[in-house]
Amino acid sequence: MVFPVVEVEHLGKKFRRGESFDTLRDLIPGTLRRLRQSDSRREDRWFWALRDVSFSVNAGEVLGIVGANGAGKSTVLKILARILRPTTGRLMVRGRLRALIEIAAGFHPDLTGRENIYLNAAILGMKMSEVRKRFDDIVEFAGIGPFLDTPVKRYSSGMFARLGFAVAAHLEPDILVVDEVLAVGDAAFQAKCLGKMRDVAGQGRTVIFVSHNMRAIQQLCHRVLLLERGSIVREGPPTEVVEAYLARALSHGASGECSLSMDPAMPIVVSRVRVLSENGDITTLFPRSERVVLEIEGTVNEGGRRYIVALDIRTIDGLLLFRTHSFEQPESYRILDKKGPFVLRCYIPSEFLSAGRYEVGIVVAERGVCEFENRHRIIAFDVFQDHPLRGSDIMTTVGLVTPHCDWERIR
Amino acid sequence: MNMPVYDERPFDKSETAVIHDGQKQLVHDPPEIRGPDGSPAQSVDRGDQVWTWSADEHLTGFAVWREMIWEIYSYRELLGQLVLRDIRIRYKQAIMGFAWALLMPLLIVAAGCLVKIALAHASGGNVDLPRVAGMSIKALGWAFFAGSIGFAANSLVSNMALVTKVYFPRELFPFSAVITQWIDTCVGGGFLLVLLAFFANISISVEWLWAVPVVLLLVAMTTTVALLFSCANVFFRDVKYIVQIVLTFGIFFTPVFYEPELFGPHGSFIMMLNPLSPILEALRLAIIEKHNLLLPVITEGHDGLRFTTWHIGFLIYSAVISLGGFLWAWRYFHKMEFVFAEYV
Repeated sequence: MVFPVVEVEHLGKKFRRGESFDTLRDLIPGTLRRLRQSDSRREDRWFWALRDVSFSVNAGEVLGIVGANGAGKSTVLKILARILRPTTGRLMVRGRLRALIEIAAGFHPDLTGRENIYLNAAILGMKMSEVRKRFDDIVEFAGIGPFLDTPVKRYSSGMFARLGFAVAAHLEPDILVVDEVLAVGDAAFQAKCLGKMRDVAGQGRTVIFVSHNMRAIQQLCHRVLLLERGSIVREGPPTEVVEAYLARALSHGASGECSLSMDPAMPIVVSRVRVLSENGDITTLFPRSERVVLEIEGTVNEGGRRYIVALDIRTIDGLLLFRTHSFEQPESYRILDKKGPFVLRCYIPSEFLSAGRYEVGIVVAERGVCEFENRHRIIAFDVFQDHPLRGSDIMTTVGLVTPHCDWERIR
Repeated sequence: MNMPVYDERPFDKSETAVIHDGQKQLVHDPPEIRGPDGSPAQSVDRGDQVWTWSADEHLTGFAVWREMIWEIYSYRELLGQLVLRDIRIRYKQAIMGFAWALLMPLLIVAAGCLVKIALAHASGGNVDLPRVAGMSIKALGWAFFAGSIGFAANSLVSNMALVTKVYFPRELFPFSAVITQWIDTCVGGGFLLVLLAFFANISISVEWLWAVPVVLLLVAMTTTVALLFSCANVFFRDVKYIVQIVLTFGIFFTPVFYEPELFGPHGSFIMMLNPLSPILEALRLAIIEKHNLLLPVITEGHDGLRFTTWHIGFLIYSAVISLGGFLWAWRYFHKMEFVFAEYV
């Protein structure tokens, strides 16, 4: 049985911009000034953060919301969470809705971990009897056992975040609304959070998920909305919407080309690096089913030496995924030992990188001698999932890379 | 840099008129929540109703009150946790711990004794113990009022992170401030009663029963002012200075360290117009003087003029203001609470 548990109709939210009266002292002259101004000027002070947004979410569905900063994602969430009242329109929710916009908002630094668990659980809307029942689970999930009776101001920031998420993770709402809570903490913690989110989604609960993490969006969501300037501009399966979002974001994002200004007196000079599609167009957006071509242009000024050009592929959060270099096969340094200009191409295999944004760095060196150049983040590109994920596919795109591994049964 | 250009066209109300028909959308029979495979989803809270959230407040009349009271009731555990938090913070870092609660009434009583002794010297009379006892009861009432207001006025602003990030009825903040102060006052009050019984030979009497409705009025009055100030502080940041001034000088305009009859017939009447005065006077009369509040008190002034210093009408006047004010302030707060997150 499919029925909507969240129905949003023609939602609009108007905010005041500019002058607002923060003190009573300013109110009186401000009011006089306002009276003198015409109505049309007064309207200038308002802008619509959301405008005529309608959507519905069915029970058990995981809905993603993506969009650039300022597109109105947080406003939608805050209206869903009843923190803001809409200016126009209406929404209806069936069941227990809990919003995790910030998980540690209720913490008080002077209280102990134990006290904060109860306080924060109450703030997030958990019943005290439930907390008592799940208290041990929460402590275990957070991994703060020995520090339970220490004031949280003495916690490391990691422990603080873990405790926050541990409480939030033990909420059992029918509808869960999640903002960028996954953006905090280290990679292991993020993986744990994502895992928990997947569990929640797998239990048939309804989830509304806002994130900049395209990989998480593609892995978790059944359907995605793309917001732009307060309106829904695209709605559909994750692959399609994420592609549309990336295409829009990248039109003024990273460029696929970078000119390096290396000292021309160096024995080897790299002048330009580009990201290309397989048919040679400059692009920064790649479906997983295509190879990413990285092209390096330069000049060898002194021949006969063992030069290496290496490319570092990093995730957006700076994790070095791998380094690939022109020295990969034996004797391959010969491709750079002749004097004169050169163009190298490096092919990153298809179906290898999972969806997300990657940054490219370059290292130019001579084997066993020295590094001539080492630069991070000269260009960036995005990879998206170009065929819909099915249950079994989700298993294969969990990690950062999806190399093709051979399996056989030997016994 | 390319800034997004917002279309400034005001939204046409008629476009949304079709959406809500002005009816309260309480659906009493929500469809069962089920997982995608048709099995019932876990932990569906039957207590939670289907709710709607729209641009206009669609509830009217008693339905609003039912909702307001229901909300506070369903968030009672959070209210308890907030009170617990405030009490823990108050006593955790203090060296004296719970003795802190005793210090405030003791100080006020000491200050009052000083004033009484000075007055006695000036008029050539003696310091009479019942007067000091009466003053200490009123001082405790004032300490509760002032403490709650001072604490409540900042309660929304200092919990900014919560107000903008999590939903729950915002009334909980001023309410918890008043309750926390109330617990403090009870500790101080118990201590004070022991002192009074010991030094001023005050004993229990039937008239003490008057204290129950009078204290209720005091709490209503305090909550009214707490709601209004905490709300105003969100919109205007200089309200906290106004609160400080009111609390610093308010004690001079309220009969705490003196009795209204000192001002003569007209003066005492004007003094009683402060809605807090009859409440504090009633506390003193009932507990210390063991006076039945229904009967008037007639005092003879220095010039032999007899005038009424207490009449049940004063208390009725206070009751109307504090109870009416409480209902109005709560309703007003409830109406405004949905814009707090935009201003804080």
